Amino acid sequence: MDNKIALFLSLITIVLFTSCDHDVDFSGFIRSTDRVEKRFEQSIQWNMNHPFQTITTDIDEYSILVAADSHIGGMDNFSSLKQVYINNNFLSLVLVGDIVSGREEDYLIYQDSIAEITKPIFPVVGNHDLYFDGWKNFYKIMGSSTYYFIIETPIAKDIYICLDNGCGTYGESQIKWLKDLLKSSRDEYRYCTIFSHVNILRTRRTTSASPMTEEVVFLLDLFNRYKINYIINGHDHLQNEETFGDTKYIIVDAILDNYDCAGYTILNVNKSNITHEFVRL
Amino acid sequence: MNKFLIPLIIVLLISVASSTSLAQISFGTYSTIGTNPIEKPVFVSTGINSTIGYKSFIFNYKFDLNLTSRKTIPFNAITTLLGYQLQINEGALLEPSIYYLFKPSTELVSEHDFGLIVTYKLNKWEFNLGNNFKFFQLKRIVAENDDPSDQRTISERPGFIYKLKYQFLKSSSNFNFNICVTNYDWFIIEQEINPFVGSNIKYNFIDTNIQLFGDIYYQAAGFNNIRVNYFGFYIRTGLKWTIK
Repeated sequence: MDNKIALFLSLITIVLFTSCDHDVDFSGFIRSTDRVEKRFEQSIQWNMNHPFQTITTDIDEYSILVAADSHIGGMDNFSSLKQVYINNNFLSLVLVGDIVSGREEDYLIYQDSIAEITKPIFPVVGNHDLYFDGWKNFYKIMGSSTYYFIIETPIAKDIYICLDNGCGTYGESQIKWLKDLLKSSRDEYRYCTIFSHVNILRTRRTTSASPMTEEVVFLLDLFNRYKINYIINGHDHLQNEETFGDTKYIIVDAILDNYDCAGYTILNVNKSNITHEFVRL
Repeated sequence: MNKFLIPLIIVLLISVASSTSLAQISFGTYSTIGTNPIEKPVFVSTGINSTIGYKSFIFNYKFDLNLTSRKTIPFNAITTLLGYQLQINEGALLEPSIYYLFKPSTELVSEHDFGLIVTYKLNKWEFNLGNNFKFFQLKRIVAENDDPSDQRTISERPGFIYKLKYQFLKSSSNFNFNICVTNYDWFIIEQEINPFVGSNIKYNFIDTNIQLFGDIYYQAAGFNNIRVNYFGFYIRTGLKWTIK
């Protein structure tokens, strides 16, 4: 009986491993080489030499463009997104992870592609960006994975925090950094929005991994405590919207090629509120 | 704190009072120490684990008291389970159960889990498969500052819970140890795509009804993103006394 059970379990394991996508790097299945604590340490080093950006606008209302899961190689939808950004009056573009497949050649395609954009782009690291030793290229081309930027209008300042949970956890040091930042500075800003790739909430069935429950509960507490307006994630590829307390949790559509629900999201900010709008390509 | 202590004392009294008339009761006490990015540098908890058996029915409850954050969250969790044991053939036991877990995890947010679980025990293997309904709730303490129209609960989509355990020696051995892969434990229920591994050692003192046990669990994040990073681990040790 024991042998039959062991054989059955071995067969399941073989089927699982052989049925997965070719674009996946299995080197991280048991223990990935890129560690969130190491990435955070390098990001803080980067931040010391590259101060956080402040974007100043002379009007009270503005918009930000948000997209996720472009998975470059493929460039069709990303090129469309680029044109939307260039031809409209968005103050910034935030790419909420899985920007590339993780391969070096795809990082180079991305780098070439954004060369013509003169407005700011804020990248967030996703799990695919880390595949195939991708962190080295992310760090070289895009820089820090933990930082924030500020948008200053004539009447208020808003803070946008970009975090790294590409491996499914934020890690101890990054959580402490976030907690300290919110404790010391949240009151200085009108609206606060946090971007990270892996979706924190799982309100519908998905096969992707979310952060551990203990981390989720801690973050739900933290976001309510500091009245965070928006938590914006990607990873799940399909738009979703939830509210818990004062905080809205949205997942943005993937913008990858050949995807029926490809789209982007616009954050609209005015004197009285901050809202989002999902747009399908 | 009193609102948790009173039910605890009532359940304990019922357990002791009923122990003379019931077929079997086991009472255990334990302590847990562990670490993860949230609970730094370590968390320490202690609690009780008791099972009452009557004919084929079993009722289990566990209380966990937080020792490291006792000023903010003194009461860590309670879980209860009601099951029915079916001896399906020699050496094979099937046990369908219902369970509920309540964790007032932080000052502002609590977690609730409930569902069904079926356990199938063979001599060395044990399989557990069930479902889980999880929701998070904002506590009333923040209500005075909040808009009453705020959404105060949020449900995760229903998930699966599972445990696959292999015991190295026969169940009748005084000393035994096992390994398991699972997505749940006494006070933790993870999503099915966040499995963790554990091991348990137990020793039954000869000519007594007392058992010494120790558990260790290693938790990793990001399994199904194929970017597995260390999350945390915990060790639990305790004693169990069985009255037959």
